[in-house]
Amino acid sequence: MNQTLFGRLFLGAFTAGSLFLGLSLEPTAGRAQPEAAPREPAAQKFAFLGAASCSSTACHNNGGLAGSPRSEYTTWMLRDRHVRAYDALLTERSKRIVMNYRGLKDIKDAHPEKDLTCLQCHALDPLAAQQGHRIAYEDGVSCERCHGPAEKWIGVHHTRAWQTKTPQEKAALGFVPPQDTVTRIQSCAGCHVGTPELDVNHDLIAAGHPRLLFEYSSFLANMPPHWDIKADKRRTPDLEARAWSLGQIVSAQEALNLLAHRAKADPAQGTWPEFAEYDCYSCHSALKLVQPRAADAGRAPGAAAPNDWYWTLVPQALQLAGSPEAGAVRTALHDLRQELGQAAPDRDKVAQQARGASEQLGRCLANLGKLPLREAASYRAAFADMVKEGQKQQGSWDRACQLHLGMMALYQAAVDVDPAHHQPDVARQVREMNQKVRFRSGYDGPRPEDVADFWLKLSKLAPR
Amino acid sequence: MNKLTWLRQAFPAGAIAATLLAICLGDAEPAHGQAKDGGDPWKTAKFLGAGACMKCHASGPSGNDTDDLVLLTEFATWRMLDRHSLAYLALESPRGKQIGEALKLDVTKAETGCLACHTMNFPKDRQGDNFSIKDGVSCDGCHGPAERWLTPHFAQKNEWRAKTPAEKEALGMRDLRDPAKRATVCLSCHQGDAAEGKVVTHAMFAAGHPPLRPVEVAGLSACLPTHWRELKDVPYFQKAPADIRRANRLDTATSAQAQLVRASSLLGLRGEMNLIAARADFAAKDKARWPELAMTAFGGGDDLKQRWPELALAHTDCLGCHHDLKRNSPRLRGFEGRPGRPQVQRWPLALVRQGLGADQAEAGNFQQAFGLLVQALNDRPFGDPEAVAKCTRDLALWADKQVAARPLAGLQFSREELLQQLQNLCTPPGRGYVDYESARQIVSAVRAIYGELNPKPAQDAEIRKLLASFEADFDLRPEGGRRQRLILLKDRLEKLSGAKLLNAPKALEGVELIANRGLLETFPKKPDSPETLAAGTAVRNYLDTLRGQGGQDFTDALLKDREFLEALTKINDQETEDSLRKTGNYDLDAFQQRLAAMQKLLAE
Repeated sequence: MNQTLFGRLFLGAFTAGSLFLGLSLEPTAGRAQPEAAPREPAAQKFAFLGAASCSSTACHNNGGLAGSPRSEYTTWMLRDRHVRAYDALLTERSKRIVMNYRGLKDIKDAHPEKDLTCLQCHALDPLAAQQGHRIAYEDGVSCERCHGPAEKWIGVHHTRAWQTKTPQEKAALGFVPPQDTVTRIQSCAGCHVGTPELDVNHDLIAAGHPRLLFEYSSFLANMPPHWDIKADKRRTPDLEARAWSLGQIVSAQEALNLLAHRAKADPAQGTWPEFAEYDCYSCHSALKLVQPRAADAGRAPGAAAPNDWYWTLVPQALQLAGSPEAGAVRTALHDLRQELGQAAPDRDKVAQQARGASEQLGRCLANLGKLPLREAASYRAAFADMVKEGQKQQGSWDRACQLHLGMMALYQAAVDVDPAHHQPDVARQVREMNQKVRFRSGYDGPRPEDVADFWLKLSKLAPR
Repeated sequence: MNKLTWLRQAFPAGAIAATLLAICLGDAEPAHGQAKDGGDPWKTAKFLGAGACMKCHASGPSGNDTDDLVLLTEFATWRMLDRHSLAYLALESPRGKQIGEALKLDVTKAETGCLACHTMNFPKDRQGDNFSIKDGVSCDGCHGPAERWLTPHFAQKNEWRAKTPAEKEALGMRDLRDPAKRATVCLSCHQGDAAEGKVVTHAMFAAGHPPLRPVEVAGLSACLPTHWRELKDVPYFQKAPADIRRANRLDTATSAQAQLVRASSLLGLRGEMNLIAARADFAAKDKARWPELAMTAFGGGDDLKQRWPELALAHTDCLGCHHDLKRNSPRLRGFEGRPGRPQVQRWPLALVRQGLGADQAEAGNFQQAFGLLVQALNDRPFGDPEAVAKCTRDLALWADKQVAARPLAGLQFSREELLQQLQNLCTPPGRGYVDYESARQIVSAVRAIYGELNPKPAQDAEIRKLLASFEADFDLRPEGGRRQRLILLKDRLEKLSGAKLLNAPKALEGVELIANRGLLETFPKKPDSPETLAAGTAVRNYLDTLRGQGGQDFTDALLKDREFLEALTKINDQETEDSLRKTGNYDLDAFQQRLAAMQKLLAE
């Protein structure tokens, strides 16, 4: 069934910007560098040619319908926000961010469009551009950012010979295979989660840059596909569930790598504690008189809570993917959060724990192998489990949001595999919960009463 | 003319000189006198407790004394209207208990630091027979240890009144009419004083301690149910001999509020800087500066350097983090700090310009010294404690120097000068973000100074309207729960005494009125109506009861009364919530527009 049950649009509302519009990938990100798209040797070995090289009518700019073959460039150019990543740097808002971030007195001195920190995610590859590669910043995040620098493969990728090359052979030419989900998620995560070099940390957020909140399945659902998504779903009907579980695991791994780096960074360069690791809204909400409440998981009153975004559902994702290590990962993440939640977290210990957990996730991924296609009923059960998980333990807005996104992915997967599993009343309730995790107009954070409503609605949800 | 009077006339500046000396020494205590018996009363004399003052100061005037110096209802006002008398009870109230449970501490134990502000936690050998820590913050907490002056101040009334404030201080009575001294006393709790163990930690706030509000001493004093008259309104001084008037600085009494504003300015800065410097000075031996160390249930250890971010949170700008995130927030317009790097509380800076007057050179020096602190806090979150300690110590010393160079007591401002001060206060502070608390400081100062402007400008009615809106938005009026607390306490006093109190119409109102006017002014001997007569009788009856039973028995009864403590917490919580709502609703643009409007109205 090709019915998309949920408009997973609300991610736009996370961003501080103007993207409340329909299907839109949030253009927030600050960081580039696809991990698996091997920037290391390849990016330096091979030249970028720029999006113009892909745009001939006969190749990828056929002007056809969005997502139709040979119209990849057309789709990207007309619909994909990545193309406007650089334009964002020309706005007053970006200038203000750079003014604040760089401590400039006058906004006239702020030049986000020339600032390497910005360009690394808002353009193809400023470092390569500096070395004279043919890159037009105006094209924003273009083809080669995800597909790899084209110097060595542009001439052969349309030939018959290309079809018979192994992925390794293609990679040796600098090509990044976008069909591999893990690689693809890592590619997105480079900017949308961040890396040590491309870190949207609290300084940048405080300067006005939106917080990065990456959840692969919803980002994918929001991205105007320049490939045949229907064919994808025919091949892999449970694509949504796979995207969700792998997205959780890979994003968590990337976030752990970033945390390990943040904890160990040279004090003169980095900041510790790095506030971006904490729940934004545990500090950032208007003061209220504290009402009596149970002590919070052994945290001292006033110690900030680590944020939940990348950790809260990883064990569930591992379980869904069939990894036997869900329990061990749960323990490792719990210990890490415990240390991070100390009033003065020990940076060595945090770095060590984060690295350990990241390696653990790496092993899980390596051992997963090819995920089997499962029956609709199992996703339906996984959806019900997710609801139960949420009813068992309430929590932050981050957790509410992740639960909501996970529920939508699993529900959609069940229905995609077998439309008979559609429960319209449940779908409606899930959709309504969407309203409660959106930020209200004018705000860049959730209203506590909305989050409370979310948990209330969740508590009433009874999937069959 | 006797010899003493002659001497005083010859050296009228004596009192001022003594004050100056005290200030130059950078001392929180009043001028230290060496009394013959037992040395410096400020170090040795006993605190006698509110019980010692109750007998006279809840009696009301006899009616024969038309040249009153005091109201003689002070105890009643403190006991029934002033929250200082309930400060210790707060610890045993549901809210106090809740805070203790969250911190896993007994908040009534000295090592937690709570007693330092919630009562007068003096050593046993300095507590008199009537002294009880359960009385909260009582008379000699502010007025000074009464052991040496209790008897002389009523038994030899005329001699006592002839003494200069400095002479009284030598016996242990603090000169609270001296703006610097009053400010120092208020700030020590309402801002904090690490050397005295008066620190509200971030964990305490997080556990439920209400936020400390910014302190502008004229405004803070006006928020109290004043148990005193302003100096210029004291009947006794209006008729007193010239030398006594001079010694008590009657000649500058019309600038008392403007003096208090000035005191708030530089002393507020000094207090904040000293607080931070003391907390960042890890070499210090007295562990009382770090109540965090007593909170052992959550680990944390005693490595202060390791715990610095946690310690620093206690004096970090609360509202800098604790605000709703909004689109296009005015906060993003920039300020001197680096976004994302917490800075110190901002309100103590709001009036510095005011305190320096026209001194541009010192204003520049301040900017430079403060810039270094900002730099230290920009370098990494919460700064390197050593660097922070150095910058704050330097700023405190700078403030000391400014205070010494600008003696506050005895400062008289002309109408033109007051107008100029108002103009300066209403000048938009330029680029960047003015937070709620700084705005509140500004508005409070404007209100206090405007009150002393005489005659009022032509636009008086418009200005008052604007002031009223400021008062409402910035919560400058006396707390809304005062009447409710009074009724609650009155009910308990009735229960204890078996008497029916204050049931006559207007009687409750009368109790509130006598808080800052005399009993006779409120209920004249020849009342204008039977209702006034009945209310006057009811109030006298109430004072008699209070004088008999308002002491420790009453406090003990209150402490045992769970229902009372719950009701009290409810009233207090409501006030805090109202105040926090106003903080959350703050709109910088609207504030600046109104400030500009005020400036225009004042320009005549």
